[in-house]
Amino acid sequence: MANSINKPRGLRIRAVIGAALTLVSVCASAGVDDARQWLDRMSTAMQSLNYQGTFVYLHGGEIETMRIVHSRDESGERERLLSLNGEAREVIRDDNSVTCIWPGTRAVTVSKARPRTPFPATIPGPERLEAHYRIVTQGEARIAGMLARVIAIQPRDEFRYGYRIWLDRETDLLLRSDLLDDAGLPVEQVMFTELQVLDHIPAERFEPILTGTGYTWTTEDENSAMIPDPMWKVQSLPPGYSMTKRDKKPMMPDDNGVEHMVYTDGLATVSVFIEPLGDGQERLEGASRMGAVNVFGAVDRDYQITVVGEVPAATVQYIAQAVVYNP
Amino acid sequence: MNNDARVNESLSALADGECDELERARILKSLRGSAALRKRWEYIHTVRAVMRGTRSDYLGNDFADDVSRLIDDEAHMLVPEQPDDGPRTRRNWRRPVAGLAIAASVAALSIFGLQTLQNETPDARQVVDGSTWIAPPRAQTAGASGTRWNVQRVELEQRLNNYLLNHMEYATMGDMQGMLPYSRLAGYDRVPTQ
Repeated sequence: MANSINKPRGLRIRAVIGAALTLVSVCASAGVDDARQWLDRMSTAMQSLNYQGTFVYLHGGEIETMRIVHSRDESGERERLLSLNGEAREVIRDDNSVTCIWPGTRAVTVSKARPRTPFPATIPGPERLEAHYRIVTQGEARIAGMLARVIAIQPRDEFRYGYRIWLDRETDLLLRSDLLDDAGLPVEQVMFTELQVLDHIPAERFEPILTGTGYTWTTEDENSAMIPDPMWKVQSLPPGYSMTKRDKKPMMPDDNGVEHMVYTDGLATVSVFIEPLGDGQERLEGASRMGAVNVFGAVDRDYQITVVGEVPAATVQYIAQAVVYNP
Repeated sequence: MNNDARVNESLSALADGECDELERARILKSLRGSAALRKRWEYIHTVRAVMRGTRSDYLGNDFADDVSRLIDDEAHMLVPEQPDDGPRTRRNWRRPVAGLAIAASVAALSIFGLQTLQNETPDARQVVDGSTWIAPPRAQTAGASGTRWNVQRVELEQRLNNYLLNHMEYATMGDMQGMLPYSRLAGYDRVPTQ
């Protein structure tokens, strides 16, 4: 497996500027502002460069090896994620839709893509971020043969995980990302073993390897949006979280619409789902988890409330128990 | 064959459960006596764990380099030099098979290798002392516990999958890290490995 990085001309120039900036910031003992700037640059790089690579994803004691391809041109952004172990699970995303192909359950799900926040305004303002996280630079390290800047984002309370990220010094691409619990132990890790930046990525690299023939297809209907019931409220939230989105739509065939509320502190995101329990439908009450994602279920009258997020168990439980129906 | 290659072959054979009693005792004795060899043993298990998709614990700083190098090394180890009189056509088809051979043979056998070591050495954690990370694939956790929700019911699992899919599209990290957070989606629905 080659550790190579092919830089188009523009990148080389940027790399020189980047190196110069690094030198300056090191001299000025790199601080919060630098770290934020690097995060902004990471967002820009992840959304704007053409790259392909192999990475490992560790969660819940499991390793997945995955392939990622990303391109952006006049026609927009395209990305594809493919698992290299076991069955070929794929996620293909463009500006319009997200297609998931799951051979294990022989299912294909096509849902609407949300427009990405235009860079570089992705990172929340310093006050908001600083109120709940401490951001520190931690020098440099080598990942996949490339020199990376290390940035730690440490939570100030138990309602969010910490992050440690490694950014390629030349391209600002994310080379490694650890999600850390309150003991500083990783709950999830992503790391490239090989990454290439290319001028152009041919369209066929975004074609799924499975045709999905004989699979169950679920396609989100453009006109499926329903009116959310404003009586559902979250009475109180952990510090720093606020609502960024609320809608209602069917998520499974034959369901009667699911209320979906999204809360974020600027980095961590939590979703609240509320739907009426069908006859004989299984209830979820209490905690569940998969890797870094925690879930807490509660039942209020005949409604299933489920809170999902890559946040500590305490956060999803707190929010689930604060959901009320207040006519 | 130089000494390094011979040692690698011995460790691979141990990991594959292909050693006889005598050979195994000899390698285990060497393992106890050499930190470098123990690290090498860890590497072999990690690269196999990566290829197979089973568990490993935490990544150290050198992980990516180690994995890249070892995947290369593994390919060499599993495709031994052809004897001079070997037919040319054989050489051509054997190489691509190497990856498959690793994937298939590693599945149960690397675990057997480790269990063997654990039986022989009272404290298995000692084996990895001094390395920056710890990655023994453990037989009892080699299932898919971490890639599926820890709920027992299929219907509930599908509902949680759907929620996660809908959640992921709104996760702030998607703006920052592009598709990488979607690893969580591709990470489930995995058929449990045996």
